[in-house]
Amino acid sequence: MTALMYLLALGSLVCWILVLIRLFKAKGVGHGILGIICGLYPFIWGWIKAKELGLTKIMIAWTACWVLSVPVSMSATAKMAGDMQKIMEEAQKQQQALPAPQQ
Amino acid sequence: MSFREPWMAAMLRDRWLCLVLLFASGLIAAAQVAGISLWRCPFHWSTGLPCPGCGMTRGIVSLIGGRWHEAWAHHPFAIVFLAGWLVFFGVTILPSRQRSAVIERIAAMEKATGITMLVLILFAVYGLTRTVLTCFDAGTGGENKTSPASTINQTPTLKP
Repeated sequence: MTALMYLLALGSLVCWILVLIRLFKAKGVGHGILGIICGLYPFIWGWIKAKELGLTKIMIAWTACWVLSVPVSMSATAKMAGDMQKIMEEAQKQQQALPAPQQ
Repeated sequence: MSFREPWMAAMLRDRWLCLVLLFASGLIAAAQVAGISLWRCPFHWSTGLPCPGCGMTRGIVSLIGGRWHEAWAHHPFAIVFLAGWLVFFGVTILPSRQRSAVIERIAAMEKATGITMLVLILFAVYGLTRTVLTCFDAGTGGENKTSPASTINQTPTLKP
């Protein structure tokens, strides 16, 4: 699960960099810096200019990474919650097994 | 590169782009209020380090809620970004004629002062410094240690 998350994150990073390069070339430094600061801007700009600049495949890949990350992230969180519950139960059992403190 | 490049006016001329950006950012902020993180920053997601804009949505949400200190802690540029968002919103909803006139004024101001580029560069410098400091802090085992990719690989452990 973690490997898949890393893969999606890496894919997203590569797509972001590719769109950023096109943004710098097409719109100049100001827009490029804005694209670094706010990742949402190149994402929306990329989709708007997808046909014009031939970014469709990159944008589909970026969107797929982002959309897929939601269920993956949710299942990973659920797994983590399950692990936490197990640890808590084990800790409770260990506490119950300990002899009562003498007064 | 021209320091006095009117990048904000150029962006405002694209009404469709502004509308989508305003709607998407508004939606992300509203979801943040509800405790849902809709947007995944590609840089933070893959490296675990804060990008220059990380904390901005939380900062703006805190600002709207009147929690100034919290907003400052999340991102010192939150107020600048919120002001920019309001300018974008105001200009985008104006009728075409007035809108063009306002955009021309903004372009003239940008060319005369270079204020928007200056703010953008300061923003980027602050963000990159924060990223480098966080990276250094993580390397030396500081308090703000970050984990790569996400927190999903952090197995919960109980301390004795």
